[in-house]
Amino acid sequence: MAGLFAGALTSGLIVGALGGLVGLVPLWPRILLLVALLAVLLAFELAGRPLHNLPQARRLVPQDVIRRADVEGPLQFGFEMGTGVRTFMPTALPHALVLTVVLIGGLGPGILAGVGFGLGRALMPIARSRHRDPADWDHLLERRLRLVGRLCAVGFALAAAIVVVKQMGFA
Amino acid sequence: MIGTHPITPAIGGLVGSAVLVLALPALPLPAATLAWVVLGVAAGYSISGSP
Repeated sequence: MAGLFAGALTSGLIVGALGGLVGLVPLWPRILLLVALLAVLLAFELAGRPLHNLPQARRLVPQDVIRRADVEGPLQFGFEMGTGVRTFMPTALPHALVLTVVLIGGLGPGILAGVGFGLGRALMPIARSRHRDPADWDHLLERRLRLVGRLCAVGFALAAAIVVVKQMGFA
Repeated sequence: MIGTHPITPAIGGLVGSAVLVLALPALPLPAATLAWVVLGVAAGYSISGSP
């Protein structure tokens, strides 16, 4: 779990630092670009047809990483899982998150989003381990993957609306 | 076990976002701060099918 949060925070820091550089561009064009891109990404998510051709590693973190060493193995596995880089992405919400942090965020929001990303990644193993039958949990998730993606997309859209409205100075 | 169903965390995030939107006028700064965390949670949990 520590590795997972460390990985997510690292991603948040890097993306947030990138956002700091993009902050040199005036705010309004960045907001307009973000709203347009999020509208497209979230429309596909809500329609249940997430965009799979966006850049992603399309590789899983190998399970044997865990067995390489008592502490370092699970730490590395968690770290890589937390970064969200070496994985398959059934939704485009991580891309939407990166766009949001880069275009209207910065270092602070990047760190906050990184903490949230780590928490979101951690919810899966936590919920799975607390289920009476983890294999059954996998089945349930597989059957409801689209619904989970849609629910997350709605939550993402609401939260994105808050940060955009805040940036525009309307609230 | 409804508490640990794969959909439960997604619904929790959705409800959390809705509460933030409703509380926005009353909680100016924390709402925006928490919204960044919620964005991360939604993105992180949405790719739960892949380790």
